[in-house]
Amino acid sequence: MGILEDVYNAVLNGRVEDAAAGVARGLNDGMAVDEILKKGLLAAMDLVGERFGEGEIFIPQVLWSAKAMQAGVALLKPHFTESQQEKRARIIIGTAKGDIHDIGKQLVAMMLEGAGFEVIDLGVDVAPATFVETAADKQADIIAVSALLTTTMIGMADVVALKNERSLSAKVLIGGAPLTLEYCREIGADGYGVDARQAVAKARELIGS
Amino acid sequence: MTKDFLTTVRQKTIIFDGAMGTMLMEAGQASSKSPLRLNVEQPALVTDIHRRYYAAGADVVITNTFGGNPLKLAADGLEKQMQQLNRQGVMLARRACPDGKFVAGDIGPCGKMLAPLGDITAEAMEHNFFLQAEILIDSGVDLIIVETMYSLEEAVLAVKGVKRAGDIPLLASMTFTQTKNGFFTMMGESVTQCSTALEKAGADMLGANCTLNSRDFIELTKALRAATRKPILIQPNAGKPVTRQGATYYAQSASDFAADALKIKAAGADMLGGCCGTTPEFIQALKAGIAASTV
Repeated sequence: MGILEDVYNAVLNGRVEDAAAGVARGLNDGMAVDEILKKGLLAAMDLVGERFGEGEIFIPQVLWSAKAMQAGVALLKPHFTESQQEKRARIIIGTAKGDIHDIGKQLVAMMLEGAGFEVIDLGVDVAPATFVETAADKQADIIAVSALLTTTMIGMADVVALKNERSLSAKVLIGGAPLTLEYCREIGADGYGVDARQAVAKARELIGS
Repeated sequence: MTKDFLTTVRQKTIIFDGAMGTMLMEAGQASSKSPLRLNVEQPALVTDIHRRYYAAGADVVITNTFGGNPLKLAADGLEKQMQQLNRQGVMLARRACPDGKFVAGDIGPCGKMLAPLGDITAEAMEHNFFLQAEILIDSGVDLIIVETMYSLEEAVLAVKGVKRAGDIPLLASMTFTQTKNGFFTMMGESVTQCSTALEKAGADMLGANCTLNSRDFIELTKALRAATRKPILIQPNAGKPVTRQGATYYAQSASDFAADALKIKAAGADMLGGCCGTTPEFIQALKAGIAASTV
């Protein structure tokens, strides 16, 4: 009980070393990997996301918490069973073609990882074809495209069109400051997140979890 | 000469220009690469936008050098052209500038995060802004505006870099989001934290711009006014962008914007201008509103 609480609090407060130490202790004590992951690391990240969405905490705190969570996940990974590896939904993420603004995308990627997704980050300025080909290769469940600029968000429509052309089952999730639900509908994307927390909520909804 | 602008600010409400980036987009220059390239590739277009803003009543136009610091230019592989793109940017504004009006050299964020979250040291970031400021000052701007800063630490380093580059009137403008607990930067800094730190670093004037529309800026102006005695510049967006058939529009009308601008002035702004989505039409409406209110 004490160990889970320690891990939870370490992630909540962005203490990277404490999170890793807590997870190591849990593994040493023979605790279930799933329990440390869900009740310790991911539960804390959930609250971090909620506080961020409410404007109670800001980007630096979220990034430190995400780093703490990642440190814990890294220790757990070798212990994941095959079924744990497989059932994680896979998401491809990147910024739209021409857009090099990566802070928002980075944040969403970390929050998605914190929510239990397997995240493949393609970086910035990603061509629609790269999104779609990688999604086909990796059998991704979701393609997430981020844009800060009104000029580059237009390229999101190409991702949707290309994905449909290839008849991929992956859903397209879009996000970024200039976007609206109206635009999401217009281009036929499957979901849109106004901020990182909503992006995670929407991603969960899209995979039906 | 260098102190001219600070004297003028104390005497009347100063009008800044509106957007450059969204005007370039409207002109069909929706390039995915840095808009600074247009200073060299399409000089007549950039000069024309500056001219239209002066003609609309702007006392100050801001150079097309927002992303002109080396770290930001490097993201587009343009860092080797830093000197040329910035010099040319100042020259185009200077060319359009009538007697008695001003040119503000623009400095925007570098797009990198400071260590330990990011990988840039404070020294490297300060030097990044120093390098751009040195060129802007040498090219003959009347003042420098550090703007759309979402991180106070970065803004302070930019102010320090400019101060090291030369003695020039300096305005530092942050961008805030609205939360239920008030206005904060993306990094979580309050209005008072920002004004205190920026003044201490040596900013002569403070400001807030982008992110919010003119209505939200009325409250923000009150908060900033309460936090500082320095002259303040407010540059709202023209509402939120919306899209129709793949093209992007900003939702607010020039007359709504101008009506809010009067309230922003009443809330304590000494200088007014526009950010994303605003056009010469907005500045003209703003100017007319201010003129009518001060008769």
